[in-house]
Amino acid sequence: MKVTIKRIADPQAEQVIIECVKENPDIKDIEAYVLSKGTLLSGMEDERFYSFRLSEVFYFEAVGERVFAYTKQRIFEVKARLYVLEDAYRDKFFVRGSKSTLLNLMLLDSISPALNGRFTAHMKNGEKIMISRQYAGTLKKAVLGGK
Amino acid sequence: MEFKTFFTTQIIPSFFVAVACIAGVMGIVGVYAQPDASLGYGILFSPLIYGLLGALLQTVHYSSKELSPRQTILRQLVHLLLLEIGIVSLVYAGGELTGVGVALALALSIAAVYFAVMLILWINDKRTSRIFNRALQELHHKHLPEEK
Repeated sequence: MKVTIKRIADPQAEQVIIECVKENPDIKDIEAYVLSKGTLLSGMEDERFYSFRLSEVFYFEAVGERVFAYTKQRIFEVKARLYVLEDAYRDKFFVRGSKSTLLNLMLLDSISPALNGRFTAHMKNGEKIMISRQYAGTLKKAVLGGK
Repeated sequence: MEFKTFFTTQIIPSFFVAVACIAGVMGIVGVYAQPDASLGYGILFSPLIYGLLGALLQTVHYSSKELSPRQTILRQLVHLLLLEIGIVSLVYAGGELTGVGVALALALSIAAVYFAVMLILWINDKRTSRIFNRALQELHHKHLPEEK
């Protein structure tokens, strides 16, 4: 496939145009990847708003009524409910790990068994997050599909 | 987690694993301890009764909230303790507990079965995580250009 990169000045006008004969699974994968890379979120840290890319978020965590996005070095509070984020970013490889966490599969390094049918998610930044038995099936389905 | 989900995903599988393990241990112990013993059909219900007791006591692990690893370990120990008390009491009520030695041997057997069940479930989860990690690497390889 031929790739052409055209430089522009306005960051708001950045876009990716895919020219294809047919929308096959490869094209869909490229689309999902581009969408996940391009999605910008805004969140609050120390009472200031910042923008960050969805692809940089290792996981979202709900703590009471508040939801936090964890990037490599920073934690932002986002103004959205966890289930809304789950619905919005399901096709961008974000999957529930437990009642309170939403994991980025692209930044998940591996899983290992924990006690009582649960698993531990080892994120690429070294963090360990508990995957509950209830959501382990959903996570497996997201990665293994019908296998 | 809803109790219905907990019941179908944890209690029912545990019941079958426990029944298989109890029947196996009974068979092995019987062959060595009392090879000439003649038993009635009633004995076939023993693994079912004890398995049911064990599985039902597993409701100790039920919580609508997420348990911490420490809470999980604590509940495992409470579960084992309740199992020991429940099974030893059942055997005592049946008049088959002839002495402290038998009670201790029984308690040890229960602990052995308990840890065997945990080990089997853990081995299964280990296998699942191996398959999962392989598929995850493939997914990364497919979607992350820097990993190609």
